[in-house]
Amino acid sequence: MTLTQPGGSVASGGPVAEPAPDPGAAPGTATLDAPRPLPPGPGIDVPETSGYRFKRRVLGPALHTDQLEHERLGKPTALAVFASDALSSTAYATEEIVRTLVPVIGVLAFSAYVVPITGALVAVLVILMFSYRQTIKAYPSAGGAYIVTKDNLGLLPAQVAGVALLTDYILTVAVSTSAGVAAMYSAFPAMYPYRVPVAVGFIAVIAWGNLRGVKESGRMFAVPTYMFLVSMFALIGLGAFKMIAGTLHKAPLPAHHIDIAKGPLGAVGIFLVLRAFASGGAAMTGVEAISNGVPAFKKPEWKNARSTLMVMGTCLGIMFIGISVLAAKLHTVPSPKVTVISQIARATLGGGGLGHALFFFVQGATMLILVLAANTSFADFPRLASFHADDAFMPKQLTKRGHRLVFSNGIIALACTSAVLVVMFGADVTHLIPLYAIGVFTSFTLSQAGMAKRHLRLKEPGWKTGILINGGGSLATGVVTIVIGVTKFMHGAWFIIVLVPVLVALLVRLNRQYESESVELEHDAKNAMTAPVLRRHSVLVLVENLDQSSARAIQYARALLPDELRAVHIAVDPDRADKLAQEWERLELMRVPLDIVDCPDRRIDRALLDAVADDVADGRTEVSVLIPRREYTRFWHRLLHDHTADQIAKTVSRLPHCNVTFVPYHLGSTTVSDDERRAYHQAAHHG
Amino acid sequence: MAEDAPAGPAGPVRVIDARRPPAGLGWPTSGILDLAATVPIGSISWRQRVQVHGRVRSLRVRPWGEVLTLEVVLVDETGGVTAVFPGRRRVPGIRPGTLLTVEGMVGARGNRLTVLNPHYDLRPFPV
Repeated sequence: MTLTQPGGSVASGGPVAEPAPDPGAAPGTATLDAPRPLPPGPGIDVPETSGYRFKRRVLGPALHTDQLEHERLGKPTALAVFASDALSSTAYATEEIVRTLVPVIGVLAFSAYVVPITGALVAVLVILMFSYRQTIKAYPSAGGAYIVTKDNLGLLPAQVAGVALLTDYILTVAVSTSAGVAAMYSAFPAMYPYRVPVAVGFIAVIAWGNLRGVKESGRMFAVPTYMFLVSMFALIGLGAFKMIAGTLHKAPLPAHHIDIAKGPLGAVGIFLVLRAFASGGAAMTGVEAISNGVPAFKKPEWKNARSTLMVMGTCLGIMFIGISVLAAKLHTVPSPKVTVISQIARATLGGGGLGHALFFFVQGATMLILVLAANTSFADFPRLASFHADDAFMPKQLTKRGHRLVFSNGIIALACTSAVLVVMFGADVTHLIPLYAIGVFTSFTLSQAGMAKRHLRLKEPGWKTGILINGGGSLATGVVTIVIGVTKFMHGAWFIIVLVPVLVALLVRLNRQYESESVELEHDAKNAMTAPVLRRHSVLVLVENLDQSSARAIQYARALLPDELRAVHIAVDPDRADKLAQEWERLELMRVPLDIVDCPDRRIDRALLDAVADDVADGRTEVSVLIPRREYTRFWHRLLHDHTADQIAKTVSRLPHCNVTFVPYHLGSTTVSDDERRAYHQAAHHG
Repeated sequence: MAEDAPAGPAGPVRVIDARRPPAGLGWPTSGILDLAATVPIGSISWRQRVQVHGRVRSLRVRPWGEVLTLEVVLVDETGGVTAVFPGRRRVPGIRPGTLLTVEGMVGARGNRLTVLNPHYDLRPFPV
């Protein structure tokens, strides 16, 4: 009102159409009540909660929804995000093969089995790569096993594929952080007792990085991935050079080493080889990551995703074979405290200052990539979970994008479950590995089968090649799944084989619940919208004291212009009720009658329920119960009071045609002087 | 008053006849009310003279036109009825939770059954 200047012009300026000034009025008065622009803000200061301030500090400012487009990954970053899982598995896949074979067949493992088994696994890898090229092209917008399976095989198989993959992602996080910690204590044995807290700490850091956004986590975690790639290629190159030069020497074998050179293998031997193969199958995990994360790529998504997939597959194959060859040559025997990779690095890089420095570099890079393999899961798990949730097979909260446009709830869920696993298994890779890989191969099989079926159905150009690739891929991965399931059954795979169906059943039950809720809500909604309304409206205001908050509520109730308006006091203490009634009378508030309701059992909600039931009893009255509620500025203020209001609302609103409205009174909106407070104290205690 | 009570319809409602005390019981009364004549509140209907007994669930003072009026909602296990005392702001002894017997003609106001200016009797809380 004070901005208007005597001339009648608006101080803020701008092309405002002003009403013609009244000639008789004093200058300025004509525009005094003229329409004015809306105020720039709400005009009150709503402080951010301390929780939000903390979130902003930890995660950075909230991202604008339009920035989703910019939160896409270019190829180099995407390789770092999605390949770290696959690449990192080379750090332990060879070790797992060796660990399975060596205790039974000794040195024979190195001379005859490690490299061929690796070769077979790489063959599976090549099949998978080409299969996923097909998948990525067919489902460029939202790829992944879940969507492919859902589209081609139906919802239930999709749940199986999705759940298998989700459990595997959880295991990936647990395995990779445990393996990262193992790499750490290989270099610093003093770290061994602290492995569990360190692994959980790693999970927390990666979860934090991912909560900060896809792009940022990609940038944060790209360096270690490339460091690992460089160090591994250097190690393998150096090893190959030394091998050809003939200067590579076997590592000294541990004292307890069993040296049995058996003849041709029997049935037990074949089983053993299969088991080693299954253990090595861990290397394949993460190949599917890119196809699940296609939407995270920059445009054109499918082209970028495909070329990234090829680069990743090639690197993975070369590294896997290279490390297995070196391990076979060096006869590295893993012990609980020294990993195969670290033995290879020590033997290849040699002693001396430079050798030691390089050794620590390799070890550091390995540790980092192992920890960051978890990052791939963090990129894919939330997205996959959101697909499930979109189809109402998982809690809806998983579809919500958080502060930084990532599926925050999914990230937190993954971090928590995997941390629990790490603690349960004491960050021990060997015990976690048997649980691992079966899920990912199940989803490989299902998604390949889905692709094969799609080719059959659509018969696009080149569908015959497609069927060959995907059908072959499905068959191959199916066989591997069975092999893994059988050979590792007793070592822990049974747990996953039991868990996945149980989880699927759970998800289906969840889906039924969501569906019945939706059906109930939508049932006859159109008629309900146009049904005749009840003609009478009575408003009851719950009054505890004669105070500001009650006054607010009664003023609001009067503004509703109801047919009947009553204040209701629940007489938990009859004497106080009497006092209130007298006060009511004294202040001439009789226009709003005060109901004193008996409450013999001190349950306010039940007493009010009875009183309200009287009003709705005639079947043509809509009742609004207004509950004044104090709102507190600080969280500890809230602790000083109970939550009676919420309990009352919950009980009373069960009545049909009874609606509860909270009328807020924000404490702290007027300042109370010390004198006033002292006077109150005097009256209450010494008066 | 009780003497004027017409003969009501047969049924659950007992019509009070003050001239004829229940056989053998004499007058089990407190004041002027025959306590044995009490009927369940759920069974009363409009324009009957009844005697009911119940607990005061709630009470309020509101203007009936110009006159401030005390309304007392009386309930038992079968239902509730409003006893109305026009022109009064309080009746000594009637508080939330009081056990009360009232006797009078059932009327209605705004689709609610009321007993206007009833005879009433305060019962002690059963110990």
